[in-house]
Amino acid sequence: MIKTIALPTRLIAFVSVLSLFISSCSVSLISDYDEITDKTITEMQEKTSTVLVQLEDDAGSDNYMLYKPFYQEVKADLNTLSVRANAIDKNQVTIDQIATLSSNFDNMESLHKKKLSKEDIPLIRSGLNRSFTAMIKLQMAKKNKK
Amino acid sequence: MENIDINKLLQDMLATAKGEFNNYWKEVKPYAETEFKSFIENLILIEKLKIEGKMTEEKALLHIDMQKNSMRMVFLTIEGLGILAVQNAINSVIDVIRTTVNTALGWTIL
Repeated sequence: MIKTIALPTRLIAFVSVLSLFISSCSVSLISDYDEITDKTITEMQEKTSTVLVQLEDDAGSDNYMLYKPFYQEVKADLNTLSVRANAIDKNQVTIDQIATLSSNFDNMESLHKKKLSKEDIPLIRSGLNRSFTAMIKLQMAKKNKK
Repeated sequence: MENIDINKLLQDMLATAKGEFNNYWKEVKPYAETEFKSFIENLILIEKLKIEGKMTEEKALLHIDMQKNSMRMVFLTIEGLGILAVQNAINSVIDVIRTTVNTALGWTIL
């Protein structure tokens, strides 16, 4: 009598412990997909692409002051992104990417202050495209994760 | 820069990256290869423009810094993809345990 009661009790205890372990054991090593981060990066990329097309037409002219509002807007976007990224757990890769993107926009601005030539634009575009592609690729991978 | 063997440099870069990202290299190799190639081509173009006098040294250094930053961005993404791959593998194993236990018990408990 005692044995027939003891066995199911043990089994129930085992299953309960396993249940608790497995149900709480979905591992998270990196932050989840964040739609706002993804959207902001994509919007920045579009904005930058448009400005680079305009700059290609204006190459050779001393026009930094005309584009200063663009750099101010980008800095505000980067700050917003950075604050959000820092608020999300396990998000160090994205935090580092935002800091690196910020550094790249600083470089672009410094080049612009020295007057952009026709030769500067493809290099700037390539560097920034590679940066944006890298960021979007990671966001998409997070979105499509199992 | 004209004397540099671009293909050899690319292969060296890929070999180094493979060593660093060994476990998930197969998945990220096509992406890394494209980006490394673009990085090398841009460095060669910067040097060419500087030699031809179409770019000042100051500007060349800013461009090189931009290219280095964008490469850093690529490495960060590869690192992130690797973390995601490990996470997916662990969670897939947990799913197998969950399915096996539920099937063995005959009802969904996990």
